[in-house]
Amino acid sequence: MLKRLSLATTALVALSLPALAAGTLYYGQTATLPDLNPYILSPAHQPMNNTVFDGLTRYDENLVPQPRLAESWEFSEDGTALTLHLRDGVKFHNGNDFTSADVAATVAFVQDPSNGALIQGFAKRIVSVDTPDERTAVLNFEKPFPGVFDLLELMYIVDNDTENAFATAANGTGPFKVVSHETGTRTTFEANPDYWDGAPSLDGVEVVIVPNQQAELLALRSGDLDLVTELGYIDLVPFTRDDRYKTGDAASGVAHDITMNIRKEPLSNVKVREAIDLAVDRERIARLLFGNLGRTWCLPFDAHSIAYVEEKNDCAYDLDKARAVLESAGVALPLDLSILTSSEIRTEYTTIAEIMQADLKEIGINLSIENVDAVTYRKRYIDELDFDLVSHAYGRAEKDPSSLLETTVVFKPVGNVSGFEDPAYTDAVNRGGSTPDEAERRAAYAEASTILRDSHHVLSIVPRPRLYVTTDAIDGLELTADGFVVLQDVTKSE
Amino acid sequence: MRETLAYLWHHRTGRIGVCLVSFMVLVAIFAPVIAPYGPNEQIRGAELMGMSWEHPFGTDFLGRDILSRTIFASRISLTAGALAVVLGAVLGIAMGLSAGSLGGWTETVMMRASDSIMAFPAILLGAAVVAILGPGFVQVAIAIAIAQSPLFARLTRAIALSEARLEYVEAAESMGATKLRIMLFHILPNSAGPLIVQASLSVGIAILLESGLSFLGLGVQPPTPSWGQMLADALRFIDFIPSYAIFPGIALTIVLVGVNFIADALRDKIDPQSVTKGGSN
Repeated sequence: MLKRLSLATTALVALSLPALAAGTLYYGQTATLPDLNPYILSPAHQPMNNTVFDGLTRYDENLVPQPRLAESWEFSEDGTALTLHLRDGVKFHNGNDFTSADVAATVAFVQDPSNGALIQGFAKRIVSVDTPDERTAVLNFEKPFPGVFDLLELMYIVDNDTENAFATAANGTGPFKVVSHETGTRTTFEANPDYWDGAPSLDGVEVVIVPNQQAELLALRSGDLDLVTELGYIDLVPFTRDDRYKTGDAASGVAHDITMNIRKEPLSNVKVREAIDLAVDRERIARLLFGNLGRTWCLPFDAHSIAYVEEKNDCAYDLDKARAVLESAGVALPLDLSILTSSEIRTEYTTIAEIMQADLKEIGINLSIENVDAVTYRKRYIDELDFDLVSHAYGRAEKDPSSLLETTVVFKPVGNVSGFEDPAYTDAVNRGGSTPDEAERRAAYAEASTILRDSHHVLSIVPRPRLYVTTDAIDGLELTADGFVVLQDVTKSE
Repeated sequence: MRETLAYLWHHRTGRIGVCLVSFMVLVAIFAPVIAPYGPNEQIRGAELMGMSWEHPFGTDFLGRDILSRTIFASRISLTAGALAVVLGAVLGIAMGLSAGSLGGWTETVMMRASDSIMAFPAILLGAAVVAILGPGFVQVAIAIAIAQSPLFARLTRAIALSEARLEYVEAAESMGATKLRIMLFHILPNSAGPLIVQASLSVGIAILLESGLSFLGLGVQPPTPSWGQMLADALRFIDFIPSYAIFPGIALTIVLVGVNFIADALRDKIDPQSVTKGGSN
C-alpha cells in the first residue's frame, strides 16, 4: 500500500512539474549582429559572447572574480605579475586543446590596434605573457594592475591555431558552437556536448534579428521568440502584468551621460558647465526612462565602488542656483548651444536631449537637437570632435574604476573627447589604477572623483538597467556584471 | 482658378474635400494661436495623462500636450506634402516634356529611368533615398518627390505626344518657334488640367508617405512633431493612453479624405465620362 502511495505521489509530482525539453532557445534582438567578433562588446554582440566563448575569470554578483578558464591565480609580491593556473581538459569547438599559448595569442590579438578590440587600450597594460608550461600563463605589467579582472572577464579566449576572422565563424571554448551566421537575419548555435562545465540543457540557440522592437515583442507574444533583452522600461511594463512571461532587470554596466566639448566657447567656462549641470533634472530623466527602476548618478560610480565619494554625489536640480551661476559666468543670454544625439543608436539618447532642451530653456539656454545617424554621430563625436554637448552612454560603469577612467572616451585622462586635461586628474587616475593597496586606491580615486565633479565636463545622469522578458517556459537565465547573457544553464520546458 | 473653385464648391464630395482641407490648412497657419501649449513644452508631472479639460487629447510620455503637437504637426505634413509634389511635378514634367517632344534617345532614357523608379514601392524608394541623404524634413520631401516624379513624367509625355500632332503646334513650328519654346509655352499650358488632377492626387500620397517615413524614424526628427512620428511614439504607449495614437491618426485621415475628395472632383471636371457616383453637381 505504502509503495503504491509513494508511486502515485511521485507520478503526481512529476505531472505537476513542467516537462523539461531540451529544444532551441529563440533569442530576439533588434540590433544586427554584424559578425562573431567577441571583442566589439556592443549590445548586438552580447548574446554571442558568453555563448561561444569563455573568459579566464568572471565576476559574481559581489564583483568578486570567480574561476572560469583560469582555475586559480596569484599576484606577485610587487603586484606586477599575475600567474594564472589554467583549467585542464578544456577543448575548443574544433577539438584543439586550450593551453597557455592560447592566452598569449589572445593577448596579442586584442593588443593589435588593427583588430579593433574595445579593450585594446586596457590590454596594453600587459607588457608580456610568459607561458612556462601549458597550464600556466603569467601576465606581466609595468605597474601593479588591480583592475586586471575587468580585462580578464572581457578577454574571451580564442584559439591560437585558428585564423581569427570572425566574419561568419568563431572557434571558442563556450557552451555552444556556431552553426551558421547570416548577418542581419539570424545566427544559429548548437550545444557543445563536451563543454568543460557540463553540457548545456538546450539543444541550441537561435539569435533572430527583428529590427523593429514592436515587431520583436509581437513575435515574443506569438511564441516565435523565447527571450528578448535590451528593452525600454515602458515596453517591459505590460509583460510584468502577464503571468505567461517573466521579466527581469540587471546591471548593464552602461550609464547615460552628457559630455561637453570644453574646447568651445562658452563651454570652456566652467561656470556655464556648472549651470547646465544644475539645470539637468536627473530624477525626472530616471523616472521617464526607467520608471521605478531608475536611479540617478552624479558620479560615474555606484555607492559600492571604491571611487565613490558621498559628499561629491551631489547634483540637485536647482534652477535658481543654475540661473545665478550662469549670470556669474558673464556670458550674454540667451546662449545658443546644440546637443548631438542619435536615436538610431538608442532612442533614450534623444529622449534625454529633449528633456534637457526643456530644462535648459528655463535658464536661458536654447539647445538645438542634432539627431544624426550612427555613423555620423561617431564621426562627429569621436573623430572630428564636432559638437557642443552630446547625449551618450559609457560602458564599464559598475566595475573597477580603473577600466572606466583609463579606457572610456569620456573619462580617460589624455585624449578624451571633451578636451579636458588636468595633471592632477591624470596623476590620481594613474595612482588609483596602479597600486594594489585599497586605502591608497580610495584616496586616489576620491581625488579623481572630486576633480570630475568640479569640472562638470561629463555629467553622469542615470545608470541603464538591462531589462529582459522571457516566456514562462524559460528558466536559469543569468547575466554577467556587464549585463551579458549566460545561457549555459538555461532550460526550456514544454 | 475661380472657375475651378466654383466647380469644386458645387460638387458634392468636392465641397466636403475643400472644407476638410481648408480646415486643416487654417489649423496649420494659425497653429501658434490655436494650440494651447507649445509643441515641445513639457509639463512636469503631467506625463502620459489621459483626456481632460486641460489636455483634451491627453499628454505624451514627456508631458507634452498631444492636441498642441497634433496641431503643429499639421504644418509639417501639409508642407512636406506640398513641397514634395511641387518638386516631383517639376522633375516629372521636365522628364515627360523632353521625352514627348524630343523623342529618340532622350525619350528612351527618360522613360526607362521613370520605369526604373516606378519598379520600387514608393515607401521603399523613399527609405532608400533618406538612407542616402539622411533623415530630415527637406530630405523626406526630396525622397517623396523622386518617388512621385514618374507619375508626372508618364502623364506629361502622353499629353505631349497627343498635343504634338495638333494644329497649334504645327502653326508654332511653321512660325519658327524652337522646340523648347513650343514645349514650355504651347504644350505645357495645354497639359495643365490633367496635371493638376495628378498633383491633387499626389498630395494625398505624399502626405501619407511623409507620415510613413516619419513613422519609421526617417522623417522629421524629434522634438519636431509630425503625425507619423507621433503614431510611432504612441505605439509603445497604446496600452496606457489610447488617445495618444487616435488623434494624430484622425488628423491624418481628415487631410487624406479631403485631398482625395478634391482630386475625385477635379477628375470629374476634366473627364465627365468618369463621374464618380454621388459626385455630380
